[in-house]
Amino acid sequence: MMGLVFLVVAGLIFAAVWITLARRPRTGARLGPDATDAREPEPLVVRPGDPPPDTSHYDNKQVAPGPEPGLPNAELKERVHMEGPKGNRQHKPHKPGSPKRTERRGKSRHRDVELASELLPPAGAEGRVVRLRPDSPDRPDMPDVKTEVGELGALPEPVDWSYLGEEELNLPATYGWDRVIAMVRNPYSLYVYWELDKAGARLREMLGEAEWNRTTPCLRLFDVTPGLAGAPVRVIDIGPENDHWFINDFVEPGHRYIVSYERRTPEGRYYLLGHSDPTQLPYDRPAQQTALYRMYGRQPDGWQGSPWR
Amino acid sequence: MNSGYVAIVLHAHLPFVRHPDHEHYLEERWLFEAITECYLPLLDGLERLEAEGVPFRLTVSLSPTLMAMLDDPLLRTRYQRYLEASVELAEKEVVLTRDWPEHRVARFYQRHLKNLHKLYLERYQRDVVGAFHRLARAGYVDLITCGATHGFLPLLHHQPEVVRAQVEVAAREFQRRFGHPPRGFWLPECGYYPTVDQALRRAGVQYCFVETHAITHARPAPTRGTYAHGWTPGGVAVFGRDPTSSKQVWSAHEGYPGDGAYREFYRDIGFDRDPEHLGLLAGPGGIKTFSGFKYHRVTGPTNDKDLYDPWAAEMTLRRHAAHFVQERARQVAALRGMLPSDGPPPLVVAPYDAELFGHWWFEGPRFLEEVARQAARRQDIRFITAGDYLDLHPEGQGQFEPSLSSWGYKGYAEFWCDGANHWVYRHLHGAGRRMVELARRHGDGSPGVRRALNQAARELLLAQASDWPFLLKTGTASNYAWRRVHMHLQRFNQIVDAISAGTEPDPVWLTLVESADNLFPHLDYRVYAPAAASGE
Repeated sequence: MMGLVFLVVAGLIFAAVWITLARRPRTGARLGPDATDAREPEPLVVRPGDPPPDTSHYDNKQVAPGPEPGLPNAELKERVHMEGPKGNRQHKPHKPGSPKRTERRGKSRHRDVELASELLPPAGAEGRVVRLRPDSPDRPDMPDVKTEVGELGALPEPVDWSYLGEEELNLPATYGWDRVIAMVRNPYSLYVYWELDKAGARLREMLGEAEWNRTTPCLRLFDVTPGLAGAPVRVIDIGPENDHWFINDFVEPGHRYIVSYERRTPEGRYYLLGHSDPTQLPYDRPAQQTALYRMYGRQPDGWQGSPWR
Repeated sequence: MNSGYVAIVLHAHLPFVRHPDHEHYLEERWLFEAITECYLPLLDGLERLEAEGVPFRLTVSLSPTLMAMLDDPLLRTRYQRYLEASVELAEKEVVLTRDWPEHRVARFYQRHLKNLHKLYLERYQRDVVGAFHRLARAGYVDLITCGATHGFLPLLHHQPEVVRAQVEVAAREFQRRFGHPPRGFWLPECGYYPTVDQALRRAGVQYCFVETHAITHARPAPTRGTYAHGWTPGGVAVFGRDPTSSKQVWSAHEGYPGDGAYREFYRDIGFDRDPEHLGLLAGPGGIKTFSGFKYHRVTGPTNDKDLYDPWAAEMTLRRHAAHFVQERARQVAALRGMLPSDGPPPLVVAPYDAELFGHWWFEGPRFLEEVARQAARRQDIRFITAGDYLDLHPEGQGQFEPSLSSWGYKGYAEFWCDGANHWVYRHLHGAGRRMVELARRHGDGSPGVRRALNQAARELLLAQASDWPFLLKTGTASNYAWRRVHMHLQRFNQIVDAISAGTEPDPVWLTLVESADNLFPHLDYRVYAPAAASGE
């Protein structure tokens, strides 16, 4: 009888200990000694001119091997986000026929289900699993590095924004600055715009109305690449109504150009109104000269010369 | 044995969009969506790595306009409202979908958004920039800067003062926030042109990033391609983008984000549900727009999308992360054999738009986190930052002149100078010249003049953002971009006309403009006057 009672009591104690141990919360595994270091991070501020920081503690550490690397899915779908950076949000029309689901069904249920139940693998399936709540003690405290908030912008309420008077927006037609600006678009294309009101008025006065009316506007393109003579390579006739031009032909990668805006007579006489700065187009292919060749001042034996600069 | 390095660079930028004159402004959501989908999950993942003791190094470029918005009290309040509306909608969705197959995904969003809400309000106390700064001080992140308002520099280069102002204002803003000048500089749109390095050098910048062909087409030919930095004639180190690693993440056909298991971007309940149900997340004025709740996965080239499965996406991103790290190791080993043996070990530079991770590719922040974990297990490659590499191997591959280039369409400037947007430059150049003239003339102006010219400089900088020509060209939000360019230039001209006429602008009007465009509170317009710039 005593033996039976002893067995029952011992069994109860064993079960209680077992349940206590089994229900004890398990802390996430950690990787190496750095986990404790992370609580009190050393400020690392590198200024230009300082000696290089000690980055030895970033050295890779050997830890348990992960899952076998796999290959990405071969079937990939074209997605518009590849086309460019921010702001490019195209509203794709949604497939018609989707039901609108707005009626509430039943009482609101506020359930806070643990993230692990669906997102993370079951224990042991994927090796080490570490989960942290945002307020987990494993994370270092946020120090006082609050950034300064702007000083502008304090206004008494209410504000009458219509006082800005921006119902209509206008830009000036001219800036009183005579210029011809050539801009590089790519190795094969220049964009040129001009504002030549003052120079045009002066020339018109100088030539007189009759002579002025005989002239027509044109762009002249000069190749001023070092080593070339700077001869005009092209004359582009443009209408008087234009204030810009895209030069998509006649220009070569790696060459340097000046674009001038002129008026010419039927006899071929040119009156210059303005010209751009020399504008270098980028190369569209690698150089054959390495720094070493340039340093030696001569090409190695058998060098046939580069077809491009 | 370590045979090479990989540097991941994230460039975070959004144009300055802040409309205190409207309660709900659709374009302000660009920021809200980016915080919810990109910046907070990214910070969450990086802090998880830190807490686990996983060593990692990451370069993050925060554009000055983005930082100004993240700090702005009005936008913080509005974002909080947006985030709370998201949490509320998530709870409504859990109830609504109770008997639907979508229920599991709805519960996933509920947990996800509650976590973000807690992070933003309790842990970061609405200070996202501060959270990045803490990671930088803890040695995990290298923060670098970018053009003040992300002006595309190759198309502004006719006026060196204007380019210099874009660089200097950004550098001073960085110094003000973080207490030290920026070592690195993200050229907006990777837009490099010969001589831009002079402006960078002047601002104390040591290195910048360029597109691949800026290096491969450089003169003379670099011996190690993009796999080590080179030095420009102006004395700035340039790191070239590695095409292979970029393609693996970016490419429409070969990239990871197109995998069928990942979340589909375009199917959003914002187009399905009634505005009353969506609450604050419904578009203003009845516009159907994204709510951030997307219940489907990419599935494949079909319109019949399957439901999103967070667990399957998690497994896929782990596989992709392992593949990414494995491929980098393979690439570095191959490069080690191909490159001349007398130089520095190869560095693979992989720069991305930060908003790719999370906004476009929902699982992106988790992917980066897994990449860091996988990389920490390897001996043959090390993930470091460009600044670390510069410290380890300062000589690089010698001097060359990189080629004009960008990372935009076709690799040059044509996307920002095209039939749809070329007219912008006539005005930007004209206004830039007026600004430089006035800054020279009023080097020591009265307080009223100084205040007005400071605001004129802000307006000019805002008009120069590369985002406006970009949007004009793409045709999305082009009306908004058109309006912004006109608005800032009109404000600029109004101020400058008054100063040129010897008067000052209407103080009430100026106060309104200052409170609307309130970024760079410490801006000094004399940055446009060369003497003042060189004297500091």
